[in-house]
Amino acid sequence: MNITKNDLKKINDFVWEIPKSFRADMRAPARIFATEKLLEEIFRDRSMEQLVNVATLPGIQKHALVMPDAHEGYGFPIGGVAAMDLDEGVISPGGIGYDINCGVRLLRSPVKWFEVEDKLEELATEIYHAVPSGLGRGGRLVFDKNKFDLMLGGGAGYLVEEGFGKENDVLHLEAQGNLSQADPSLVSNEAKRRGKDQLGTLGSGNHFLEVQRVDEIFEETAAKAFGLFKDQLVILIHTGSRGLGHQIATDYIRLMMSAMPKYGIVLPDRELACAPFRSPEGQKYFAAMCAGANFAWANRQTITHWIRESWRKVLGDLSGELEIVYDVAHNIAKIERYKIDGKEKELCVHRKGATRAFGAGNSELPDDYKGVGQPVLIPGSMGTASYVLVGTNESAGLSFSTSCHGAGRRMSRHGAKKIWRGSDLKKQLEAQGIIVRAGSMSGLAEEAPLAYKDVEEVVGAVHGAGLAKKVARLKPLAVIKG
Amino acid sequence: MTDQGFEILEHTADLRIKAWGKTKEELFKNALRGMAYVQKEEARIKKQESRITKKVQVKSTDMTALLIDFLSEVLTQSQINRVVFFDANFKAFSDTPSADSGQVELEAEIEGIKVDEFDEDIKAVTYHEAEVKQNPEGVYETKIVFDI
Repeated sequence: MNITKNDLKKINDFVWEIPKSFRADMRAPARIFATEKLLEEIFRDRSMEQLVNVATLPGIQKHALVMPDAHEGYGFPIGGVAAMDLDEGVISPGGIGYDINCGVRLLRSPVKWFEVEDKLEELATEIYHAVPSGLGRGGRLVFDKNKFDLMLGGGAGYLVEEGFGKENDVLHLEAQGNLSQADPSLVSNEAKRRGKDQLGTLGSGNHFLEVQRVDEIFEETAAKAFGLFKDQLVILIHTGSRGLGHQIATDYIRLMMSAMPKYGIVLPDRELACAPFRSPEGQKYFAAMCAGANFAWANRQTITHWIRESWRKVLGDLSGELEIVYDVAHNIAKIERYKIDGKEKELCVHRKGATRAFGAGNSELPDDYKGVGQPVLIPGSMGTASYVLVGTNESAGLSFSTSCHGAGRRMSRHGAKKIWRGSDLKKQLEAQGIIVRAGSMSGLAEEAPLAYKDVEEVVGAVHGAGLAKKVARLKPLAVIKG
Repeated sequence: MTDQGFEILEHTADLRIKAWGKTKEELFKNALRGMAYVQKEEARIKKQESRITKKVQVKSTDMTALLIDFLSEVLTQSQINRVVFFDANFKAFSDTPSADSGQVELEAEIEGIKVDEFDEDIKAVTYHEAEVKQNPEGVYETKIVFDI
């Protein structure tokens, strides 16, 4: 059944609803956070149908949700959010994605960008060489079997123990960079072999590093708490759990497909494969997924360490230290508490291409952010603007404390490559004064800014809906890709 | 349709291909070639280089799952060994569920070449939209979406 705009009920300028009556197998209504303009774009692919499919999952609470940067995925749409009852509900690897804990980390420097302008080319080159893509040669850091398992169990904190960071680094990471429910013994040998030499590697696709400048501050109090000021030089890291996470997802989707008949679960798309959260399959996947998430935090910690080394090498001690603003996961399931029908309960919140956005006062936030809320990091498409937002308390009721995760694609990679050549794109970016260091020109073409939705419109919708509020806009100085 | 047995289709975020073959084995081979083409465009040209072979065994609930699980297994081997596998010889290929396990299964020797770097880092082979079926001309075909 095709969904059209006529099937939607307008809740307000930023929220639309597909009623539960739309399809007989829906267990909850579905809500879309978008402006009218973004809604048109979302209708261009199969995101809506995929969102309706999510609403059929057992144990889903309140609404199946999708963020304004929604686009077609497989199983869940990208930008999809679903919170499940722990006793009655399921956990679905497809609701987290293959790149477990793909996420973003922002580093801040104490300098204004123009104070080090003459060193930017050298800095970009240095970082490009320090952080391998991992598509060919392996990473620079390989742990033995014992240490690898300790890392899967300990996340970013284990890397700090190994000398890859400062003790207080973990305070400014989602979940402090470690999900304690992780069980490395539930991660297959194949997954471990795929991830063996991938710590500290960037990967391909939409993953990138950017040296950026703070272009505009919208909210002074939050900016000050996050240590951000106008013209400041900052560095954004966007990568995930690499082959290890991909293999965990592959292994467990397969396991769940074979387990579903046992639990009497029938689904409209195999990629939604799931198992009851409390079942052995559900618990094993959750523990393995947590280990995958820890690998991703360890990966971003390793990359942070090498970027700090590059920074010191190029700029010496005079330009100070790089500190972590925050680190957020885009693809993850977390156990969080929300009010359902007036009663607070624990839920398994799936976020696939969506960012947690806790408001002020949340007990997980570090002391210096408690008064303002959680930093929400939104990478724009390559070469355009990125945003720092701050979570609101309102979002708990609206979206299980969730915001968007990026600009969201609107054109296929294949389509983008047909229109743009990587080398032309490089010239265009350079004409705007942006330094480009990229291993693959076709990879660059796939990420052409026009292949994405307008990040301003997406962030505007999130701000307007009250999911998170704008704090700062960041503009690129250098783009570094695998 | 071209004679290479697969073509690249559109997908917003990921990569979708269509593969076909006169027999199920041929469909599986062509799907494998499609995946190899995405990983390394010139892999097939370099066939003269020393080949690497691996044995894979896969059991699944039905023919569609068998194809996706087969490609997933090849991808795992490909990523671990940095080899692009572009051919397969099937030693066993049962397309009716076995009496004891109720599953379909295959055993194959896959062939490939070592690469320094992949063009495209395929994260996973998904079940999304995959459905092995015969078209009116009797040709087996399916779409396959790769997460990249």
